[in-house]
Amino acid sequence: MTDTATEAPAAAVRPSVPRPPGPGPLRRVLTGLLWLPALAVVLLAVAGPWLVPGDAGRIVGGPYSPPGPGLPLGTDAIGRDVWDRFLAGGRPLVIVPLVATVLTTVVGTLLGVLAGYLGGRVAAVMSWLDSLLLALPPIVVLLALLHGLGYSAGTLLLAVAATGVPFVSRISRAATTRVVRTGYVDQAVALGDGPLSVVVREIVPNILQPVLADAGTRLAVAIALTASADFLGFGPGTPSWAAMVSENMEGVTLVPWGVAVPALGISVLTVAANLLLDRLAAKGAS
Amino acid sequence: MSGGRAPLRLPRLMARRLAGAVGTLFTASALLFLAAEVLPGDAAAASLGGGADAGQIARMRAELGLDRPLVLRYLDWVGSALDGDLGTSTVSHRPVGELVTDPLLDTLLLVALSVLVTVAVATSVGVLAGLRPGSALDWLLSAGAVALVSIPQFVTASVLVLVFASALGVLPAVSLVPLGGSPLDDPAALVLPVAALSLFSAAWASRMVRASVVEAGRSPHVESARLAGLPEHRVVFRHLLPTTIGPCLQAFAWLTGALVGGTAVVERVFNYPGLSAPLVSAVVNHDTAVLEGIGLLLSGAVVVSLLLADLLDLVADPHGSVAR
Amino acid sequence: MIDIAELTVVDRTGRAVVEDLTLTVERGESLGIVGESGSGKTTLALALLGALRPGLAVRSGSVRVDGHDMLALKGSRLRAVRRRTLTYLAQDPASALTPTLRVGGQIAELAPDRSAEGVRRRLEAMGLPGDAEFRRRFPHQLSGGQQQRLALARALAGEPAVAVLDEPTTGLDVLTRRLVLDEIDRPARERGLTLVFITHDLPAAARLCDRLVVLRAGRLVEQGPTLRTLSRPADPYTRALVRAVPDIAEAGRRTPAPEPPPGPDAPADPGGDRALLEVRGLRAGHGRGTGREAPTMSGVSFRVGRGECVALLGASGIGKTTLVRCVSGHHRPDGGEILLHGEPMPPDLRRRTPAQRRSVQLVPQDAVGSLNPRRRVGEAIARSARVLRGLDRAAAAAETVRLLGLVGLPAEWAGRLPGEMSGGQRQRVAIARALAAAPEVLLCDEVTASLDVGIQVEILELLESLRRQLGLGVVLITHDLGVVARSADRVLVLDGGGVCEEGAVAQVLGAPRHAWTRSVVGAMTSLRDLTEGPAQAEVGAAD
Repeated sequence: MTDTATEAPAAAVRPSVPRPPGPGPLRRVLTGLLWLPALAVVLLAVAGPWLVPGDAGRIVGGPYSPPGPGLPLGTDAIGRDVWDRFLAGGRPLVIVPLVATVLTTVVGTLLGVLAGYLGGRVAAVMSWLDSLLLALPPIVVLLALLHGLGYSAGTLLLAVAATGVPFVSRISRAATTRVVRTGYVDQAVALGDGPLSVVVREIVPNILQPVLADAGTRLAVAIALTASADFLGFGPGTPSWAAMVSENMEGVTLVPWGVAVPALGISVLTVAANLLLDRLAAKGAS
Repeated sequence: MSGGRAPLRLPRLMARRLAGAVGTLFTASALLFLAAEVLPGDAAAASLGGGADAGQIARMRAELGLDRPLVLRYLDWVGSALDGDLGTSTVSHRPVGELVTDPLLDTLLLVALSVLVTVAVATSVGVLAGLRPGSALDWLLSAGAVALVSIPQFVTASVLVLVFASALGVLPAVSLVPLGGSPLDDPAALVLPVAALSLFSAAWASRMVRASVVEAGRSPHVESARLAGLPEHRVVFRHLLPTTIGPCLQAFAWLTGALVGGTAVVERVFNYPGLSAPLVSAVVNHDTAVLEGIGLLLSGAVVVSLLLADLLDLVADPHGSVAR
Repeated sequence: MIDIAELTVVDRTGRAVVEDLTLTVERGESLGIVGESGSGKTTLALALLGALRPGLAVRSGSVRVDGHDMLALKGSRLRAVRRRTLTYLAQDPASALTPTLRVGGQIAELAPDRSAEGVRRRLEAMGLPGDAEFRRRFPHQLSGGQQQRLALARALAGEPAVAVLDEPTTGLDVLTRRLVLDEIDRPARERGLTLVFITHDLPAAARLCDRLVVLRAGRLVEQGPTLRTLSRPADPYTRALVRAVPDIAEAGRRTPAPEPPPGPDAPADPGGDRALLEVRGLRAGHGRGTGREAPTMSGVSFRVGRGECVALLGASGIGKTTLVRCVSGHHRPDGGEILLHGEPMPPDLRRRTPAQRRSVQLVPQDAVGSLNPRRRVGEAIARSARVLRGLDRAAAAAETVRLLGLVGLPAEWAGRLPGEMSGGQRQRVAIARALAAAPEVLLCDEVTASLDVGIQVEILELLESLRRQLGLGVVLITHDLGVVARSADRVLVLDGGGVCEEGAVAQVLGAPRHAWTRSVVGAMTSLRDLTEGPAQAEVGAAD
């Protein structure tokens, strides 16, 4: 009985990257309950450096000294105040990953829409480019870029984008193909809409949902990658939670706070950022 | 006469996939080469150390062959790589292959163990959660998975160290493996690194498994089997789970690839003698050859896993009849 | 055998899905339960198996099958009854086949006799090969028809006493539909199976069942022997239902439509009759993009006159939709001409003049997809009116209200999103949108398929009146020969890439020449023939 309108594209694009399911009811509930505390954590990370009295890099005691008066969390591997460094060290994990995620999402979505709308050769080429980028492990990409461009916000942005864009563009392309195939794009064309109008009015609003659903994961990955660069020691030495974890790992059995507190901070931050972005996405998609 | 679909030439499809994978690897290697060599950062200057003057650097560049066109250098590199020669470290002046063999094996050991643990955990958790969607168990497991997937791996690893090494003192925080030895000499040192890697990947994989099971549970043939009065265990094992195997296998194969590329940070937390140490120091010391060599090996491993995923998918479901 | 006593099932809001239903089915009887969407048919079907959709609860009443209280049983006792006494077939029986279970296993799993010999016998009884090679196949290695037979063989393998069939023919094409019904009918008669056949397809129920029950909004409005219920229905709802079903026998009674008054831009016609729409030698393949297959159609030609309705028939996948999309400009043909009022039109929609785009409108098969989910329904209709007819906002809004009324939707629904409406309602919005352009040619692709019979009648009457008053030319793609018989003037049958039969509807449906046409016409059941044959009822006199 079914005479399918437009037959399936001759070469079925099979994504070799399985996609985890989008946020289910559990995530929505968690987000609903926790978004306010999550926002608080993120604000704290951003505002932290302003709360530090004096220079968080100065040496205040012997290495790995236990907590005492004036040193709520003791000192780190070189003898700096752990608490001060903790206050100061959250910001790099928020700003850069956030900007990187926005960049990745925008670029990936545009590329995917282009591929999905133009179809045929363009889509095939993009799909092949995607699988190419996916063949390179993110760490390798990060390290290669650090090797070549040195440590900078730009390098991190580029690394996150290079590893994230293939995922976003795949989702965007699949969604666009679905939209184009169902037929209301045809209707708009029949009304005489030009391609730009079609993309903006018909396609983009209807692919937002899957793209934004993925944004939370993108942010988590961005934070992880950025933190990894710090963790591996490439950062400039300014306070950063990730760097603290690696710096203080040797003495973890002596004074755990230098590792425990930033580790906890990162955990809470990533989950918080993830949930917050999910909530924004859910709002935006409705 | 008995009808049916046109016969499928499986070997042909597989060959096509193989060709595709090889092509991808080649192009990925080119990208890697580009990133490593073209971007600012001169191996010659690095190898001579600070204080070398322009003339010395120029001579070094000529010696290293860095003044030849990029394409030629790439082809040289790929050609030698196919022969098994990954070049020479500009820092230690030893063949890259030699420097990299042991760490590679150690990393692969870590990955293999992690994959085993991940598959076991993710399958059990995913199936349990998926068979009872919306139950308390499902929510608990899913909440855990969501958290673990978001948190960066080195953080999870650090927490493990904090709990088991620092607080409980049960397991070693660091792999103290003597040079030339193997991590297998001290199995206890493998536990935490494997656990760290597995937690993350099992969290991810279990969500896929769960989704797959939930979807299969809603399919018409499972509903029909239940309405036919078949006992629940039969419905689950003969009608529900078999259709989830295909997509799950794919996910696991992809996961292996992701793991191979993602051990670097965790290794660092535990000082595990895998590829992360030579990789990171290659970047620090501007040892381009080592960077490229390790990058190539890791990309190769990823491509092989993706290929495996594709091939498994073809074998398990040649007509694409099982809904993905 | 089956005893339903005062059954009331409610949903979460307390609304009754099935209300105070009492029904008995004797052993060996075939009962048809007929109703439109929302009548509670599926709830009833599942209740017979002791199952309810999540969110539904039994407020009162009971359901007994062979003495067992189905709604009270649980666990292994319930499974035992389902296994030994009942069998259930849902929409598209073949989809119930687990893809990873081989043919032999599908049967053996439910049959009391699991031996190879027993399985072989059952397969052969259903017209399937019984040899070992076939038994080792997987369902996807079978043809569509074989899959249906296998599903039926599996359903009957357990030697049930009662078969519950819940819309098993919905979504199937005419020939497969007939196959499924035949293959149910035969063993039912041979084994004395008690049959409960739930459907909205009245002719199918008429063919298969001894007794009919009519459900409306959860209540039983009529029951009685099939022939009497159809020919002398007691309840007005039933009467309207029977009359509304488009019947293939109507083809023979169609009077040619009166010539519509000449339209405003009909040129002074010296000699021949200028057809409104003419297609010459159209060739096209499926799909777009790099992978173009061999052309599906080669050299299709036809004409549509003013006020005429031409039906397009053909097997699934033959290219009817592609053909119509070529005419509307959405699909690029490989060759041929499309002429409007004798003037050739560019095949690509974007190159057509606004007048041409306005004149030819397509109502696509997939109404769900053809509406932007984020645009309000009223806006979609109004936009068409504004852009293609140049109406200003106020006029377009008024037109939207008028059109919604024409298709039977409340005016306030203009503010709704497509996702808030049912499939049939969305289909009607798509029709309204197409009409908003005031076209001269309307291309309808399966537009009545998802509509309830009552609504279907309204839409067909709407199209009819538009044809008579405005000279609207209609090209109708449908698989329902009853609709063709009721609405079409001429019929075009597509097969093997071209037009294989063409002519007035009475002739093509009454005396088909081509093999495919003959098999499809033969597969249809005519209610009129059934009721007027033996019973000599005065259906017409009852008006």
